[in-house]
Amino acid sequence: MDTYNKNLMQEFVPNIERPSKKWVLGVGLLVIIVLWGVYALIRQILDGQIITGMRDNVVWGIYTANFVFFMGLSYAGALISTTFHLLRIQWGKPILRMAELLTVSSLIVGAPYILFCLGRLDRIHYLFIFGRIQSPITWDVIAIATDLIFCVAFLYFTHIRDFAKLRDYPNLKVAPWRKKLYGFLALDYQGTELQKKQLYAAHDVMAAIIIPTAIIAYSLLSWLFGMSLRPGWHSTIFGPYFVVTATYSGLALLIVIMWIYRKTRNLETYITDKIFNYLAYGLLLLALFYGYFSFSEYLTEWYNLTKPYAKLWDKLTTFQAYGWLNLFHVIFALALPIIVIGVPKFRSVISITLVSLFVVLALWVKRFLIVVPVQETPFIPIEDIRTEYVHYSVSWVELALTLSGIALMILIFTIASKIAPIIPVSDLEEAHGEHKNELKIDTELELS
Amino acid sequence: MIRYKNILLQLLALLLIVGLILSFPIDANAQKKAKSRLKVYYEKLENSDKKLSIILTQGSGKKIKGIKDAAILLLTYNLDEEVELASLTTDANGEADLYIQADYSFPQDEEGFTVINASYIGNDSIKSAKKRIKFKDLDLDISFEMVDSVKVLTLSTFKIDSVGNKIPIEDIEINIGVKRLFSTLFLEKTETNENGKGTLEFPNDIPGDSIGIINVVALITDDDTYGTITKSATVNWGVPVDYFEKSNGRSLFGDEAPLWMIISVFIILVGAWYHFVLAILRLIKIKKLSPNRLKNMDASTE
Repeated sequence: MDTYNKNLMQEFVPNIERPSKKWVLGVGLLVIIVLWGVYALIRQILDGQIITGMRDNVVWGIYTANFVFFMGLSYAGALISTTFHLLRIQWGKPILRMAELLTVSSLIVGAPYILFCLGRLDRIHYLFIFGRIQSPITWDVIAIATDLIFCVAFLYFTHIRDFAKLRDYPNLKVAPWRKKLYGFLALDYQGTELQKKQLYAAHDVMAAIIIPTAIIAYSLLSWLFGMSLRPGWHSTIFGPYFVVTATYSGLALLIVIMWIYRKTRNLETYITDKIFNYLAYGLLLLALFYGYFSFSEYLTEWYNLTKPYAKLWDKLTTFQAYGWLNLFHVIFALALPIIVIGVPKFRSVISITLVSLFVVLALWVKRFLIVVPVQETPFIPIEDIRTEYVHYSVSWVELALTLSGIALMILIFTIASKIAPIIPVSDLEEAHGEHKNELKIDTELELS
Repeated sequence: MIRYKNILLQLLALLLIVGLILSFPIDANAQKKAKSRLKVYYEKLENSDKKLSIILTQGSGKKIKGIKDAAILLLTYNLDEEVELASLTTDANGEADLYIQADYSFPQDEEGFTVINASYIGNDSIKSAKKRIKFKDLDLDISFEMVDSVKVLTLSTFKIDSVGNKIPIEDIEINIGVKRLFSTLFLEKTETNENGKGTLEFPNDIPGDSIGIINVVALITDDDTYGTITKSATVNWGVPVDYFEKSNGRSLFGDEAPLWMIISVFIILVGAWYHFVLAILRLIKIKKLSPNRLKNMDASTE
């Protein structure tokens, strides 16, 4: 173990050793919020969906908005981590694990939301028994299951070298079972050339297959909406539009996560201002793409307004309906990132993080605007005119399950970063080695 | 000074004249009632029901518009006796229709004409209007016959006298068409002879439904004596076209997934999982290639 590697391990190992009281308290609080969600779910199963805000017309409420949102984060995480890996982007190595954790945690949290919309959860197995291959729901089930398995596998692959390091690290103050676990998960990896070759090849294969899987899976999710003839959903650009939106929201959340870890773990040396700036350029580019898609989508619908779409358009632009939410989305997902990141004077780590946080919120709002107002505007007029049937409103059950989902995601991050360093130590070591080699070659060339 | 006074007086006089000119036509218009125009059409429908269509308008050219909520009185005459047929109210376009069942017989004069008088009494701003039409009753029949593999369509025009005999009517121009999705596709014209018959050869290339059935329409349009008469009948003379099968073929709501979809899903899934298995196999190799394991293997070999 060279000095650089030793220092790295010395810096990161304390974070995964015995938990502090603060950590336990934080985890306890998160567990309580998650349990609140579990209680809400049990109540929903026992009492039925009448205790949610969903009714005959709006059968996909905040749950589906959450589903689309979390799935988007997951696909973005997968795209970022695998692209960075395949393109061998050295400056991005410190944030790879965060992106991978973002992928897996949001998949675990997001996927169950679609099940919460089901009136008869006891019939969920019918989906597999009677599923039709031509149904977008079946496409989505296959795609999400495949994506989850691939992404968990990829996350594990990226951990193997760090598990080996932890296994070999002397005086690691963790429970004996954890040491054994590291040994088991490290697959007897010793870092020989032959082993490296196999691991890197496996890594590359998984990264290469995850990129198309993520794109297909999120496009399929968009087609859940696009295959319907409803105004506001039936759109040919929904596939790429969803993929761009997902990448945009995922990158924004990754920046927020980076900032939190940088602040709480003092990782300024690794998560540098340069990384923030580079990712901010990516965010700006995605904001422009997102703006282009949004404009294209609205323009084509608006130019030949059909009667049902005119009603929807009216709801999205009237402040008594969804006008404020739409304005919030336009300002924080389109205007603000372009101004703050586009103008160098406004660009800083704090401003980039704040803008990213608002982008995440605004894109959740966007998902809500895609799901709810459209269902409130059906082709055939709503016959039951009770307010709760015509207008959707969120109930405490849906709110509890939403907050518990966010808490679960934070919990996964908290626990995962207690199992292995949040910065991939082996990758940093490798990047350092390559940098040293480059310097050596440069010096030799100069001398010759 | 006097000169300016004169100019001022002249200007005042001019303003007064202009004011008078401008105000005069406005007042005149307010008092003048707009002319109204009443049109009445008689039509005998496919099921032998009768229809009287009323259109009440005002203005002319591009400014023509219907008069809505106007009361129209329809009268007919049994010899000299006035019979009220109906009182109708026009819709937003100034239109109103009266449907009369097939078994109702209009009163007729000595020559066999039915006279209908439509009248609108007008209001404060619109003048009254009247329209009188007269028509004779006529029946139209369609028959189909194959003559040496040629599809022959025969049309008969006749009226039924008081004892129930069919009296042929000649020189009636009839349009022939087939019903399509949105309107009638007109094919040919024929004129009835002294026997009240008109024949024509029917084309062989008209698309029908899935078993070739088409709906043939015979139409006498706005005849001076008999008005508009429509008759239709179905016949198995079309080329069978299965529209349902075509539209169903493109959709995904059928019982079976299209072949291209099954193949695509199969290729994507097999491709993805094949690579996943490849990656897992490489992981298994990592353990096999461990120096500890290799040493043990060497030791056991020795």
